[in-house]
Amino acid sequence: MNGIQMGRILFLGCLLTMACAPVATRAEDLKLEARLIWGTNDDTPPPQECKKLDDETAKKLTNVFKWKHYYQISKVLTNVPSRGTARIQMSKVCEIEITELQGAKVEVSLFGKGKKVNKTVENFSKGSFFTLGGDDKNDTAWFVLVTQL
Amino acid sequence: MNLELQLELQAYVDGELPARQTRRVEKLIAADPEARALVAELRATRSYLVGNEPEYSVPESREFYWSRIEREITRAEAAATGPTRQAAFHWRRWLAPLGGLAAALVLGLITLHSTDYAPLGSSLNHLAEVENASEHMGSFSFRSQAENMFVVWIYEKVEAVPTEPEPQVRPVLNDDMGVQ
Repeated sequence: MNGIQMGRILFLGCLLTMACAPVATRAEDLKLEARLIWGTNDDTPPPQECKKLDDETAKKLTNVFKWKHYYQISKVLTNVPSRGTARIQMSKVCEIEITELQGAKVEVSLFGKGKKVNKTVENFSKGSFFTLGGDDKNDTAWFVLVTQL
Repeated sequence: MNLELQLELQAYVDGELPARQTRRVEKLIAADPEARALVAELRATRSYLVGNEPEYSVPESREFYWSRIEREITRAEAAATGPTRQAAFHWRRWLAPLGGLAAALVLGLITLHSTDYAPLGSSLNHLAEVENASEHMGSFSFRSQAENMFVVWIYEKVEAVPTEPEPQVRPVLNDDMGVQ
């Protein structure tokens, strides 16, 4: 076998590997962390069930949103099976459903009192934050922050 | 008869002696029966050899053999200066596979960057699809490049102002999301 033949075989092998790469890179479960967060500008101490959000995440949110203080209401860790779906209960009335799609995408659906409110399909990778949010009473806000572990 | 005389007689038979020496040898042969017998034997031997020596011939001409010799000489000379050229050729043998591997790696990196590791803000970002499932709720989305954060902001749609005042409606999102 001469050099050119060997080069062709190597090249074809690498092309085949690359063709499988996008599938292979996501052919595993997605480990996710979902947090329900409450944002407020009120300096008074929060209700007892609210836990102060970690500084790093709070700083990220402060850099994006107008609220000064962020509190974690709940946190759920889950595995979304490859090409599968996981439903996560964030509170009594708030749920999200996450489906792992082909490529680097996920579909996130938000449910309020069991009714679907919103569905979003978006690229999702490690290090990125997927945030659902909305206004709450007394100029506060709620957030569902999803990150990949 | 000494060896020198025997050699002289051999030269005489072969016709290699000058004229003066030839005459002297002829006188000796005439006078010496032993010398005469040796000359006769030498002549007989010579006739046998000349008449019966096998002659071999080859189909190729001498030019053919010479051209082969010449080629061998040329090759030997090239081999003397060969190592550098051979090394260069050896290096070139790996040029094709290494080139192929490099191209494959570049394509692989491009593929990976365009799939799982596409940074936010790249050309794929427009692929985000946001769909409202409730007619009472609206949404808009935005992306914070600095914080690597994609946000879908959900709000309550403002209903058309009714002609008659209606009772105050509790904001849907407050309790719908169950934050407080």
